Amino acid sequence: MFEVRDLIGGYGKLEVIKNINFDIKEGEILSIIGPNGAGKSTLLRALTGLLPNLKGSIRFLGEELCGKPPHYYASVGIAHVQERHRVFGTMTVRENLLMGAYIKTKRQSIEKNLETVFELFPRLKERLKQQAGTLSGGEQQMLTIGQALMMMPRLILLDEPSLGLAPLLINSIYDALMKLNEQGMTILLVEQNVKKALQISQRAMLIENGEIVLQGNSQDIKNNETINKVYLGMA
Amino acid sequence: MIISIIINGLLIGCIYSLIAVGLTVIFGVMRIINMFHGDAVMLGMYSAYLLHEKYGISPYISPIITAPAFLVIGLAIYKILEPIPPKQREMSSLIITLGISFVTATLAMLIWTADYRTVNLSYSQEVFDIFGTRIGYPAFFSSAFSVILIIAFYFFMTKTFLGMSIRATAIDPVSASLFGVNVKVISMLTFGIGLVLAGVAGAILSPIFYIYPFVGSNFVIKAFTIVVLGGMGSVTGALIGGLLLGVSEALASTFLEYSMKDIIAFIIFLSVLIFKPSGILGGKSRV
Ligand SMILES: Nc1ncnc2c1ncn2[C@@H]1O[C@H](COP(=O)(O)OP(=O)(O)O)[C@@H](O)[C@H]1O
Ligand SMILES: [Mg+2]
Repeated sequence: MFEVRDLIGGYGKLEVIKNINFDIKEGEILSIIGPNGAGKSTLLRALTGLLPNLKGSIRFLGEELCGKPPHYYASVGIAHVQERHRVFGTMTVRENLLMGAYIKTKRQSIEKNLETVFELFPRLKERLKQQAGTLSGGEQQMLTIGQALMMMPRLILLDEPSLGLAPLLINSIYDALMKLNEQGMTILLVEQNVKKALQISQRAMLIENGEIVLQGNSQDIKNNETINKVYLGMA
Repeated sequence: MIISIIINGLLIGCIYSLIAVGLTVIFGVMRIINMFHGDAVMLGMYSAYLLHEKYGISPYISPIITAPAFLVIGLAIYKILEPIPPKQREMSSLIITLGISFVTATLAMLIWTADYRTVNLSYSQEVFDIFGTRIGYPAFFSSAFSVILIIAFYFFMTKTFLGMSIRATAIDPVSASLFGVNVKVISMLTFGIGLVLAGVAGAILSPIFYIYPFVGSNFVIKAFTIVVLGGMGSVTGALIGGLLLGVSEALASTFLEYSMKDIIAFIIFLSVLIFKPSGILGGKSRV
């Protein structure tokens, strides 16, 4: 459903992504792992129109998206949950969720989608009137995923949802992702938490220095020798 | 005595707030320092004056007719400022809008001369009493309309998708765009809406202030004082800041020299910048 070809991009003269090629299949979780600074977040930015002067091709359900502005990506059903739970801090939790339903065609289903979000993250319901900036990191992460669900997306790009969270919270976030995937949601998951990522995803890619150096079934990657040594810390 | 000074200060303060609200939203969303803001107030005053003189339309009603014109002026000026890269926004916009401001005021002088004008309503001289304070009807109506508009604007910003997207864009344009907000369009609209508020404020002011071509500079200084007082980009801050400035001016003109009235804004402006640059409200809540 999502095809990326010969993607090259970065910041100004700095080329961060070097010739990236991959597909995402409908209904799967594809994880992207790799060291800090490898260009994972930059790749996600490239995939939602946030990098100017991007070269290559991004096809989503047959439509070419490369060169389109970020708000267009939202309108075709791609949600991008950014790193470090970036919420609108001085807006309430409810307002943050409503921003997820900003696109006109999604506004009829607000009540239904709010229920879906509360089923997944009951805590958000109790904090609806609170300013998002006063939530804990874990709650903010839930909120950003909730915002993405309000968009009723076809594809969610998630940037390190476990970053900086306590293990218990990481588990509840991952349980939620698993549930969503079982209901048919397609997810591109960027993670440094390699173990978690390989557990939940069907396929995975390893990115180093802006290039895909390994891709395959998550099971096979888990058994790969270098991955084991370098990323899972097992000899 | 002191109560009546404070009441009069609050009345004027409401109108100051209305001017400052537009300015602070423009700054919050686009980082544009709009020196033209006072001239939009001036144009609002003249248009209300002319519509009243020629057609007898009340200055409290004529903004409905003139608002679209201010929206168009806003969009046009925004187009001039749009190409400036975000990093140079604050300084460049200040200089460019200052230039536009000067040209506008000069043109106003050529067209309407430097004469002072007043809008004379049938009830201009009528007063009523609250807490032993004599309040003129025009001052009362002007303040009441300002308060209604500020409340309406507050609801617009918190209860409509357009208003929420303006606030979201001010907080984090990148995130806003990922939810489908066209940041360029929203910025342009915000500038237009900010100038409409200034123009409407001008009309509402016209029955209680003298109207002359360079009156804008007076208001732009007050508006900036309020904005730094309440925190750049904060609507509630602008409201509180306006009331504070109104009351300070009223107190200063009574207990100090009358001429201190216009200097007080400067004094507050500098004191806030020196002692609490983030504003008295902490400057945390943007828009
Ligand atoms: N906004 C930016 N401007 C310039 N360089 C950036 C920016 N963001 C990231 N980089 C650089 O791009 C490279 C990849 O960063 P990033 O995509 O954040 O990596 P990862 O998400 O894999 O940790 C790094 O060298 C980083 O310094
Ligand atoms: Mg990253």
